[in-house]
Amino acid sequence: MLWLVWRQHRWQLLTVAAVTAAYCGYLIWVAWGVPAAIDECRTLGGACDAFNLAKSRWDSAILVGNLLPLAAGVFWGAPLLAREVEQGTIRLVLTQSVSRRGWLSVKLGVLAAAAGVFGVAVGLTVSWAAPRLGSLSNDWPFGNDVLFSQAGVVPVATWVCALLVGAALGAGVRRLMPTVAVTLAVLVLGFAGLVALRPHLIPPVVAVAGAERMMPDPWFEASERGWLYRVSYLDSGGRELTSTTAGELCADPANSYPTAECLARTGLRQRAVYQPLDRYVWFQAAEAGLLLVVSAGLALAIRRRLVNAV
Amino acid sequence: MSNAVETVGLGRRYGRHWALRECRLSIPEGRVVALVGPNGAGKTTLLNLVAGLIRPSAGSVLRFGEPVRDDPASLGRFAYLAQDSALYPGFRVADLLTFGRKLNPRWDDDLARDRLAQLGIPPRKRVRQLSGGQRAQCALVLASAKRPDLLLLDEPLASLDPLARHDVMALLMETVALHGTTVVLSSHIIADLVDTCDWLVAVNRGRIQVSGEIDELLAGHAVVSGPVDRRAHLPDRLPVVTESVNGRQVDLLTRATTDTFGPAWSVRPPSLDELVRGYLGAPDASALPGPVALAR
Repeated sequence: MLWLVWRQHRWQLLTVAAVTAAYCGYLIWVAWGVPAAIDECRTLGGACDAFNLAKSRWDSAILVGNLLPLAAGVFWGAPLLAREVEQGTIRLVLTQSVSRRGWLSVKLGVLAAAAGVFGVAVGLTVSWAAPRLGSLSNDWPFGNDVLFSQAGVVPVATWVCALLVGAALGAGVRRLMPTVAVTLAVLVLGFAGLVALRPHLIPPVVAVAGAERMMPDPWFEASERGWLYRVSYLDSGGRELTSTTAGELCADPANSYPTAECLARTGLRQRAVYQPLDRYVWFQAAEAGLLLVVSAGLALAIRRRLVNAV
Repeated sequence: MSNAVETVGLGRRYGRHWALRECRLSIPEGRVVALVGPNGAGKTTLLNLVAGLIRPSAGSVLRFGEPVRDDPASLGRFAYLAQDSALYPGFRVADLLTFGRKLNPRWDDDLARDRLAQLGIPPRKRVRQLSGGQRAQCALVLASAKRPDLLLLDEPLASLDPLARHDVMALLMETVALHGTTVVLSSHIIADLVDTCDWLVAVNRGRIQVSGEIDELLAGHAVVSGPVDRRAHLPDRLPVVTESVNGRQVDLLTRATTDTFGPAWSVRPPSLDELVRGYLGAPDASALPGPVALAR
């Protein structure tokens, strides 16, 4: 059976492996020189060109990187059943001396393992590389829509889930090209849905603080603190003001946003809605868990469909 | 001796349409069975049900006395050659043999290699480069090298030229003689089956119409021919299956009769072709074995 999986899927596996390796290699190469570029940028009179170049390369690469799990869904998952049915070879393979359950579990198992390995590779690379840019940009995975799903353990679950979405749609649609199209649409919408759902996985902390404990505003420079949803200010009447309105109230010529000095002077309080940094692992666990539960459900659905009828 | 295939009340419905219904069938081991019937009669549905590829909507199928199960032991006892004899287009012929070897514990690699060499199909060729006939031959090699006890073939001869047909039938006969394999092959060309098959199953409009040993069926029927204007003088109790008029002569396919009808009428045994055509032309008639035949 292992031979069959390799013989049928070797080109898809090798192609995706090559693309993933190239992607990870590129990220490592870009991130490698970043600390030196940051040091140069930070010295007085130093040039930031090297950093800016690395940053723009990084940003475009990361955007493209989100498409990689699509490959597992479209090239591995979609053909798994759809092509067998379309070619008629399903009747050949299901009448060999291998049970349907056995055939399906080896195929899904091997491909899911491969997807997991590629997910681990991406996760390790991004987790290593992102902090190298982080001290001068907003490239912390926590709270970054395009980075979060490529860091830590989430990519492992994303890849596996993409594979199973493709396979499950193939089992339902049973024709390759429509399956590919539907898989693409479902995965893109699913990813968008996941990004929209992510902030709600765990209820955020709402902190109201006076001058002595306020967070620096704008948040950009304080991303070490976690994932900020929203910063606003409350005046003495309890009315909520945006940073800009509050900044105008402060009338501080040096700062357009409120400072601690302003809060002490005006009596404004800062209201921050955020996820503390130590929740990063919980978010990783929640999202990976959600995707794996969906994957397991899809695997069961495929098995059920295959065992019941062709 | 037990039955290779036995079905009870077997039926399969697609939506509201029954492709096969109330099918009661017993095929003894070691037979070469001709499964005949017009297009859309339910031949493929029956074979798919016996192969366990689709589930019955009603009734049940037994293979060698055991229910159809999704486990290697049950799957290993039969082989199925589907109508389109679909193979993986990107595989080389040698890959097909590896496929068979890796997925079947009873695989006979020597048989497969010898047979392909005989056919002159090079192992390096890809399936998509083969002709339709070569593909069908490869699929048949794949099915027979599995060393099944029951070989189900859906229109195996359709894409073959007459010479290849003869070869395939010869190979089947050899397999049966060597291993006692039960073979069920569907075809709409009855001439191909006359010499090789010893059991006939006719399917018509989703029902089994005839099932029995060919010699017994032929001996159990007669063709009564005579002038059409004397038709009314024949006795009413004559068990007529079907009758056809050719000009001034009428031919009646009847169940065996000891009656004589006078000098105007001739009585002779039917050919297989006449028998099959006679039954398929009269969908309501049937010749099924009674309980005695089933118990044998």
